[in-house]
Amino acid sequence: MLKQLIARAATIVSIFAVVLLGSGNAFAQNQAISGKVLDAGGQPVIGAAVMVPGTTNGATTDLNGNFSLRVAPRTILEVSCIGYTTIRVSAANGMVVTLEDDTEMLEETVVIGYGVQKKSDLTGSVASVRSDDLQNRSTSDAAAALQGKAAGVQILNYSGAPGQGAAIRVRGYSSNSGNIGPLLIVDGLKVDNIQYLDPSMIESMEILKDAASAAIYGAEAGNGVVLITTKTGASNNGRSSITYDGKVTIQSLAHLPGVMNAEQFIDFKRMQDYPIDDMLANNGYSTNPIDTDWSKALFENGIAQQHALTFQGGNNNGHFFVSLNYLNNNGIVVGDKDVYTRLSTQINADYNIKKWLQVGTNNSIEKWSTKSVSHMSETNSVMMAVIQNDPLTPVYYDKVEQMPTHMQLVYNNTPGESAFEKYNGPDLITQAPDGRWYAVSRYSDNDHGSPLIQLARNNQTNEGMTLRGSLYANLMPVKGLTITSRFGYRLSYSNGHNYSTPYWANTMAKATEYSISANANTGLYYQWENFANYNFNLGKNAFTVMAGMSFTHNKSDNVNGSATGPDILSGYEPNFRYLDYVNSNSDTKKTIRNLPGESAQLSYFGRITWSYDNRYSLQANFRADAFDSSKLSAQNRWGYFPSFSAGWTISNEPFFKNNVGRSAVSFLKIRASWGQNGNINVLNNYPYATTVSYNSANYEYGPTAEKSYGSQPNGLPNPNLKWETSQQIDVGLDARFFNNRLTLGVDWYNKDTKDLLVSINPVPEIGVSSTTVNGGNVNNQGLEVELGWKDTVGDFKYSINANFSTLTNKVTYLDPNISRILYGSYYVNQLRTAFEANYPIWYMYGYQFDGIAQEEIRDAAGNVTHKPGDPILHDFTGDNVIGEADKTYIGKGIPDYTYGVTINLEWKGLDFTLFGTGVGGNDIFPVLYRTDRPYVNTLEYYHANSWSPKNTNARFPNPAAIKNDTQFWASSANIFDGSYFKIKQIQLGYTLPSNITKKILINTLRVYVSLDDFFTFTSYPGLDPETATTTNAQQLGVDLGTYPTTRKVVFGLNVNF
Amino acid sequence: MKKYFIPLVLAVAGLFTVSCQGYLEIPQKGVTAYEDFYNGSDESAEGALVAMYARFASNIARPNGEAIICPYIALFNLPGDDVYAAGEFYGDNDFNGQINEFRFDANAQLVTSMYKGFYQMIYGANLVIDNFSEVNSTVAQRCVAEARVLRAWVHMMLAIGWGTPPLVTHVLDGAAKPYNCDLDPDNPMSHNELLEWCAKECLEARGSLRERTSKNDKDGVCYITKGFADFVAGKAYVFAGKMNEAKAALKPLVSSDKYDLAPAERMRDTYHIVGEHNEEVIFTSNLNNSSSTDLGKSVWMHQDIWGWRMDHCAGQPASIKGGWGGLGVREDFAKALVANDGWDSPRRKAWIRQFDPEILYDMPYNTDGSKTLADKKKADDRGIQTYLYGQSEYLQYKRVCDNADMDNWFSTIGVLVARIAEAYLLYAEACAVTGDSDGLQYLNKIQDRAGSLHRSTACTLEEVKNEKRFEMFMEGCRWADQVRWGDTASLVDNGKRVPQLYDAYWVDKEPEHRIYVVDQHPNAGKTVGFQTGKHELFPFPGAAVIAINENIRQNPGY
Repeated sequence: MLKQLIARAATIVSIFAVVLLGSGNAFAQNQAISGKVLDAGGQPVIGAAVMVPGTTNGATTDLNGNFSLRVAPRTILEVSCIGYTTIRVSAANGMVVTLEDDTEMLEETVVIGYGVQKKSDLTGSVASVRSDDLQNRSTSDAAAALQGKAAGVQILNYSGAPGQGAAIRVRGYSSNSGNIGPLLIVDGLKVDNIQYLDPSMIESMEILKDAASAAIYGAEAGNGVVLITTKTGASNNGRSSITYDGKVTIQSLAHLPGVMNAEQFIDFKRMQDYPIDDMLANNGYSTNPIDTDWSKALFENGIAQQHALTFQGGNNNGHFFVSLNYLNNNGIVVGDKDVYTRLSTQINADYNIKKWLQVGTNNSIEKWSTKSVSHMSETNSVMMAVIQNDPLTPVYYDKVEQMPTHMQLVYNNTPGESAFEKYNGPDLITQAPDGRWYAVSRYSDNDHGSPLIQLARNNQTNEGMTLRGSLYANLMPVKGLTITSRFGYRLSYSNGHNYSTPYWANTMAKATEYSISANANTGLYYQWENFANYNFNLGKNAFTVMAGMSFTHNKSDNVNGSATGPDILSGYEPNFRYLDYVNSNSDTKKTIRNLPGESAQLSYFGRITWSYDNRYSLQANFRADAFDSSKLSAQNRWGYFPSFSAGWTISNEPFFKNNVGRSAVSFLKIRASWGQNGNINVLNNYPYATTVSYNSANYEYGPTAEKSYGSQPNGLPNPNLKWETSQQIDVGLDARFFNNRLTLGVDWYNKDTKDLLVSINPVPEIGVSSTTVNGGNVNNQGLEVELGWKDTVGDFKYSINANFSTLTNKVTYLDPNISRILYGSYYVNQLRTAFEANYPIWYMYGYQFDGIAQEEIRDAAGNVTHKPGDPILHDFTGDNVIGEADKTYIGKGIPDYTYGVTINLEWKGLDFTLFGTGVGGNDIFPVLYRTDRPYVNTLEYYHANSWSPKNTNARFPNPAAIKNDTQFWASSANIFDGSYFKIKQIQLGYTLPSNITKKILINTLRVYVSLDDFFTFTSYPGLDPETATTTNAQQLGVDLGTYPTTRKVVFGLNVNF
Repeated sequence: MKKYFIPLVLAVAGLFTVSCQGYLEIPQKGVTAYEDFYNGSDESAEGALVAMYARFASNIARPNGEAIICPYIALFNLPGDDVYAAGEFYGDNDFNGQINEFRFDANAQLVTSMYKGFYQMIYGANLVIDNFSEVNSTVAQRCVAEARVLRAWVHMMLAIGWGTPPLVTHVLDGAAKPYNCDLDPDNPMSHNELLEWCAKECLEARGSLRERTSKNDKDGVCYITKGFADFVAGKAYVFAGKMNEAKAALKPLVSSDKYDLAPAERMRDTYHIVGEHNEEVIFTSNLNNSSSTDLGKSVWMHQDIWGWRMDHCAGQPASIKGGWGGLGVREDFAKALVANDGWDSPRRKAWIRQFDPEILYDMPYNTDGSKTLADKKKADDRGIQTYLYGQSEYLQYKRVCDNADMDNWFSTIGVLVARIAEAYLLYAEACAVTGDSDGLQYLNKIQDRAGSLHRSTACTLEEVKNEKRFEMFMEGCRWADQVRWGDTASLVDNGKRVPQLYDAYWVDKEPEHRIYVVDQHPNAGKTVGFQTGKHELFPFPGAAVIAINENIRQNPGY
C-alpha cells in the first residue's frame, strides 16, 4: 500500500518536473512517438517517467499506462517508476515497455508497530519473514513456520502431536517464570496465540528483537514482539485472482524408538541381576516366545489434508481478500484419537471512502477441535508406554486363560479374591474393537498397563470457536498526517468433555470409579487504539512523529462440572454420557466451579524519527502502561518504557559513493539501539495485595467452647512489587554487495532482565514464612548473522539464505534469601532443574559422574565402597556420603547456537526448495529409565553401552549396580548431546507453462511434492531430539516421552485463476 | 475538506484524551481487603484475636507445619541435666539428640523451627496491636492487652533462649532486617532491659484483661488473663534479677484463690486430657480435641517420640500409649528424686516409674488375667525383648500420653504454658534472694502436695533450687534455671555416656525378668557436653537468619 502511495507521489513529482523543465525546442526536431508501459502482470503502470537520459525531454504515463513524446528514432529512453526496476530501451512508435517489480523496493518497508518504516531507515533490529518463505509448508501453525527463518528467533516444537502449537523465543530466556513468549500482534490486534493462523494467509511476519523496536509495546514487550500482517489483496497490484492451494500429507514415525527387543531385554535383565529366567520359565516363555514391537502396535501412517481457497482483488479505491482454509490432521497414533481439525476464514477489506478517509477491516473466524493422547508425563502416558512396555508381552489376549491371574480374578468376578472388592466383572477388562482383550505384562505392573488401554479409555474432546478482528478508519486531513482509530476484538468459546470408565489393567493401572466432566469457557477481549502519524520534511531532514493511546479490556468466564463415583449415570450408553444424566447417589461426588476473570490496560505511546539526507537516522520511542488492580497496586500501576536508536548509512555518504562502486558495496549501514521493556505476564491474581483470608483461622476459648473464627492476612503485603524489566543494547550492521546479490546482516545484543519474581523466605522475625519479591536477574547475549546470496544465470535463478545465532544465558542475581530455586521431581531419579546465580536458567542439577570403578575402591577404614562396574559419583562435600549437597551443574536445555539454511532453485517451470534447521550445544536428559519398576523396557542404548566384565570400556556402569540407583540416574552419565540438524523441507515443484494453462483460463498451475521433517542428524538415542522436552519453560531438555515430530510426504497443488 | 478540519481535529483530540482509568479498578474475588477487615469494630478485633490464638497454638505445637517435631517442649527440656535423648538407636531422631548432648550447630532444626515459630506468634499479636491500639472500645482494648501479654511472653522466651533477640513491636515489611535488641540503633536494649520491657508490657496491659473467675473456670485458662500477665511479669523480672519487682508482680497471683495446686491424687492429671484445664493451670494452648478436625494444631511427636518404646517390649501396660522411646530419665536425677521425696511419694509416682517392678509388674496389663507376681516374673507377655536405647531403669511417666490423650496418632493435649507451681517457685526465689520469709509458705505448699519427705524450714535459694528441680521436671525450666544460676557443672558430661536397658529374661535367656543397664558411648571421639561461654544460649539460625541478615550478631561460640 505504501508503495502505491509513493508511486503516486512520484507521479506528481515527475509530472511537475516535466512541465517545469521540459524544453519546447526539442519537439520540433523530433518525431512524435507513443507507447505503453505495463507491469509484469500486463497491467498499466501509471505515472512512470519516460525520459531521454541526460536531457529534460520526457513524459509521464497516464491512467492507462500510455505516453507520447517527441524523440529521434532509436533514441535510448529510460523508463522508471518507483517500485519498479528502471530500464533503458530504444524508442519506437507503438512500443510496449514491461517493467519488472523492484524486489529490493518490495522489501523496503517493514511494519514496526503503529506504523511502517522503510527498511533502509530502520535503526533497530527487526527480522522480517515474507510470504514467499511461508508458502507450501506442511505446518499449519504460523509460529512453527518461523523456524529457522530468522536469526535470534528460536522455535520450540514441543511435540509432533496434531494441534500442538509451537512456542517462540526471541533472544533467549529472560524469566524464571513460564511466561517467556513474545507479544503477538496480528494486524494490530493482540492475540493469545497464532496457531489459528495458517501460514498461507500471512503477508509478512516481523519480529521486533531489540528493545528499542519493541519499546513501543512497553510492559508487554520484554520477550520480544511478533507482528503479523495478513494478506490484503493489495500486493496483487490490483489484479483480481482466485487461488486454490491444496495438499495431502502422509505422516509416519520418523524413526523407531531405540528400545530393546525381546532378546536384548532378557539379556539386560540378566545383566541387572533380576531373576528373569525364573520369570520366563514361570510364564512358559520358551514354548511361546513373544517379541512385541510396541511402536508398531501404537503407530500407523497418519493422513493430513489441507485446502485453502483465496479470493482477492482491488483497485485504486480499495482491496478485498477472503481466504477459506480447512485442515484435518489425523496423527500417527492408531485410530482417531489424535486429530486436529480447523476451519478458518480470513476476511480483509479496505476502501477509500473519501480522499481523506479510508476504512477497513480484518477478521478471522476459526473453528477448531482436538482429540489428543497423553504424553510428556511419567505416568499414564501413551508415549512412555511404548518405550517402557516389555517386549515379552503380546498386544492382545485371545482367551481369558491367557490373562494374568489378577486379571482373570477381576474378569471372572471372583468374590473376595480379586483386587477389587466391589467392582468386578468382564466389563472392567478393556476390549479391542475386534473382541480380543488388550494384553498387560505378566512380568511387571506399570502405570498404564498397555498403551492401547490408555488410548481406548481416553475420551477427551475439546472444541471451540474464535473470532478475531479489527475495524479501522484512517483519517488524512492534511498531507503527511494520518490519524487512525482502530477497534479490535476477540470473541471465543470452547467446550471440553471427558468421560472415563472403571477399568482394570493391573494393580497400578486401574480405576474404580466412573468420571465425567464438562466445561465451557467464553472470552471477550477488545482493544481500542487511537494514534496519529505525521510525516514532514524540512530540507533534507525527514521527520515522522507518532503519538497514540490504547485501551484494552479482557473478560473471561467459565463453568465447569464433574462427577465421579462407582455409579454416576442413569445410563451408560453413549447418548447418556452427559452431566444431565448424573444420578443423585450419595457416593456420587459432584463439583461445580465458576470464576469469571477480568483485566484491563491503558497505555499512551509515541515515537519520533528523524533522518537526514538518507544518511543519518535517529529514533526515540516512549510508552507509558498502566495495568488493572489484579496485577499492580494503584500507586504502582504506571510504568514508563523509553528507547533510543540511531543508524548511519555509510554507503550514502559522498566519500563512500565516490570511492566505492555500487557493484562492490551496494549498501552499508551501521546502527545501535538501547531500550527498556517489561514483562507483565508474571503478575497475576493480586500478588502485591494485602488481603485477608476471612474466617480462615479458628480457636476454642475453652474445653467445651464452640470454635471461634478469626481472620488474618494471607501473606505479606508487597505494594512495591513490579514487573520484570529488560534493558537491551543492540549493535547491528546491514550490508549488500555485488549489486545486491549478497546480503549480510549482523547483530550483537546484550539483554539484562531484572526484577524477576522470586518466592523467598524472608527473615523469620517478620513472622511470615514466604513471600514473593522482585529478586532475580538474567542476562542474555548473542550474535546473529543473516547471510543471503541470490543470482540469475540465464533461466536459472537461485538463492541461498542462511542464518546463525548464538546465545549465552546466565542468571546474574538471585535474592540472597534463597540459594537456588528447584523445579520438578521425578520418582525414578533425583534430578531437578535449578535457577541459580551464575548458571544458565533452569540448568540440570544432579550428580557429577566421575566414571566407572574398574577395580575395588576402599575407604580409609578399609571398607569396600565401589566394586568393579560401580558408578563413581563425585563427592563434593568430602563426607563419603553422596547426598543432596553433592549435586551440581550437569547440563542445560538451552542451545548455544541455532541456525537455518534455505536454498531455492528455479529453472524454467521447475522449482526446488531445501530448508534445514538445527541447534547445538544443548543437553537432553531422558527420564526414560525406571529405577522403581524392574521389568519395564528402556532405551536399547543403555543395554548396548553398559559395563560388563567383557566390556569394561563402556559409558554406563554395571546394570546390576545402578538398577535402583536414583542418584546415578540423576547424574551426568545420563546427559546426552541434544544437537541436531533436521532437513525440514525438500520440495520440488513444477509450474506448467502459462501458454498451456492460459488456454484453460488458469494463470498459474503448480504441482509439488515435498519431504518434510524427513532427515534428522543427531546422536540422541531417544525418539526425537527436537521434541525431547516438556512444555514447561522450567524443564527445557527433560525428555518425558514426547509425541515425536512425524516424517511427512506432502503432495500439493497451487492453482491461480 | 477545510470545513471538516476543525471538527475533525477536535474529535481526534477527544479520542486521545479518553480516560479509562476507572476500568482498571477490578476488585479481587474471594477475599476481604485489609482495610475492610481491620476496620476498628469490636467484631474485627475479636476476629484478629482469634487468629492470634490460632497462630500461637499451631506454632507452639508444630511450628511451620513440621509434624515431626515439637520444639517448644523439646528445646527447653532436652538441654537439662535430668534427661537423655533416647530413641530406637543412636542417631534416631537426632534433632533431639544433638540438643541433649550439646552437639547442635546454628542450623539445628529444633532451634530454627522454634525461633521461626516464636516470631510467627509475635506477628499474630502485632496484627492486633497495630490495628486496634488506637480504637477506643473496651473489647478492642482487651484484645490489644491480650496480644501485648502474649507478645511479651514470646519475647521473654526468646530472651531466655537467645539472649538478645530482635524486639519486634510492629508488623514488619518484607524488606525489614531487624537487629539484636542490644544493637538496635533506634532503641537499644540489653538482655535484662528486654526482660524488664516484657514485664512492664504485662503490667500495663493487666488492667484491660479478664480474670479467671474461679479455680473451676476452665475457659479462663484458654486465653490470656490477669493471672498470666502477672506470671509473665514475675518470671521476666526474676530472669532480669529484679527480685523486688518480681515479688510485687507475683504476689497477687500466688495469693489468688483462683488458682491452686491439685490434690496429690490428681497431680499427674494436669498434663493429661482429664486435668488439662484444672486449678493449677494459668495458661495453656487449647489444642483442638480432635486431630481429624484440625491436624494443624495437634501434636504428633509429643506422643510418638516420648512414648515408651513398647515395640521393643513383649507387652505393655494397658493405660499408656506406646511410642518411639525418645526420652530417658537420668539416674542421678531419679535417685535424687526418690531420696528427696521418698519412694512412695505421690510426686515420685506421678513423675517417674521404675521398670522393675512398676512397669513390669505393678501396672496392669491387658494380659494379666489371674497372673500372680511369680507368674508375671516368668511371663512372655512383658519385658524388653531387645533393648531400650537411652533408658535408665526409670522411665518418664509425667507426660507420657495416656490412651485417652490420643486421637489416632495425635496428642490432643494442649501445650502447657504456665502453671501455678512455677509461680510459687518464682515468688519463693524472689523472696529467698531478698531475704523475705513470705516465700516459705509456697515452698511448703508444693512439698506438702507432693507428699515429699523433705519439707523446707526456711526460704533459701538452695531450698528453692532443690524444689524446683523436682517439681518442674519436664516443664521446660531446668536448662534455663541452670544457666541463670550458673549451675551448669552437671551438664558438661551430657552425651558422654548413654545407658541401654536390657532384660536378662529375653536377652540372656534367664528364667525370670531382670533389668540391667549397659553403658553406651556413641559419641566417643566427638566433642559433646555443655561448654561454658557457648551453651548458655541457643544460636541464631544460621541459614534462616545469619546468612540473610547482617544486622544479627551470632551468639558466642557458634
